[in-house]
Amino acid sequence: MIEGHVVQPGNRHLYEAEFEEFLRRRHDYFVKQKRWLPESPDGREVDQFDTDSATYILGIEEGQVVTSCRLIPTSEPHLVSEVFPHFCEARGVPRRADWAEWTRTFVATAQRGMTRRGTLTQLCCAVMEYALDEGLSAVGGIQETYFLSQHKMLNWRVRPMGLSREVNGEWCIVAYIDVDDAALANARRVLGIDRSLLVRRGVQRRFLGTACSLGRR
Amino acid sequence: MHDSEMFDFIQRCASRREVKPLLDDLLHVVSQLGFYHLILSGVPVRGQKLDQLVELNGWPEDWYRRYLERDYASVDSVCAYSAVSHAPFHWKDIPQLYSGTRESIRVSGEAAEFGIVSGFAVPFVSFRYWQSVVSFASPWKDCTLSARQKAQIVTIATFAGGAVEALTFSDGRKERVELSDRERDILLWLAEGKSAWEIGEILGIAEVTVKWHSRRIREKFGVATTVQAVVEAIRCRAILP
Repeated sequence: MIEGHVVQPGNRHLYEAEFEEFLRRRHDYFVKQKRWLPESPDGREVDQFDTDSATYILGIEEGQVVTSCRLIPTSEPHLVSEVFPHFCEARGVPRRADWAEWTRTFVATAQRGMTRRGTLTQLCCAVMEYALDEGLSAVGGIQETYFLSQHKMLNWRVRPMGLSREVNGEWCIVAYIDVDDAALANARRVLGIDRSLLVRRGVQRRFLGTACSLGRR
Repeated sequence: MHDSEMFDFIQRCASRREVKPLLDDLLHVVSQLGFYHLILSGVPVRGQKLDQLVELNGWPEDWYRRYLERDYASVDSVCAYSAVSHAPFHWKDIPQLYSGTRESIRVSGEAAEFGIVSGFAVPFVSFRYWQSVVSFASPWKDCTLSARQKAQIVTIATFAGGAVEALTFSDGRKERVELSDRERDILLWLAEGKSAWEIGEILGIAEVTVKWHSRRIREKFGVATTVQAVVEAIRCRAILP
């Protein structure tokens, strides 16, 4: 089972090696395998959304980063608002601090077997736990249509913002998942655990920022 | 079809508690796009029987029976191509390699007698099978879809597939084989051709423990040999080839 380490600007120095590995793995997967982006000379994949507003969940198992993703408040510029706003034709682009964009999901090749209790489900569980802890209402963003049933397997409530469309030969959709106790309980039940997967070391900033977290809904 | 009808369908999907009303609703919605039959199923990979994998069966009864009896799943190009494509496809765009075989041409010819002439298929990830697919059939020679209609049917199929996943796992039926992390590691090394002794050395455990785990793995898959266990694990994607 992974440990879901929460990495932000305040504690990034504690994860130098892991973060470097994370960026290189992103490059291997999103650039070399999927060809979503042009190759980077330093072999690390970094885009305009890797700012101080981003929070990363690094799934670490036996000292290795085996899975990871990035969360950004949709009130900030994010992938959907800047690149794929036309995918939200039905409901509009969400711009709310308590709706997080969830992108750059990655699972290491050796862990990519598709079982219910597999690494991807463990990452999903860690993300849901983090989102609930931070008082978020929804997480989501642009994702491959092919993998959408992962969320439904966990019995999560998924809301599409528009139609599924083709992007460079891959079908994608913008959809958000409701964050609530039931969603976390379902993910934990599938994994057969009743404990936290998150690890928070060093200085942690609230996802919503002080002003918002005081008025937590 | 207006988009709002599609979103209404998606909303109804989320509240379904049974498969039959979901199938009827899905059939009704896609009939507006010219599709009158459909099947939602795990994709059979070599040797798997289709009837063990079907989740929603909206095929003509006689055709379904014949298809099973004559094991058409093993020669039908829609089936074969559903196992290799991640992307949605028109049946007519299936490469010749799959659609050009004599058996496959015969199956399409017979399907036409049942009003299944052209179609569109949407594959999606599965947690029990190699992958899953929703295949929609039309009685027309060419089920042309506008870009918008194509987007609609992919979206509809995705959420119908998701609803089936949710239903299947929420009521606990068809629990597929779950391997422990240790069993999975051992299976991956077995797939690499390592002996029980070698695996014991690699993982730092006793050879007898490896053998004990191997037996447990074979029991879980209900097979007699390690090779079969590796094959079964790949078929349901517990490990990847």
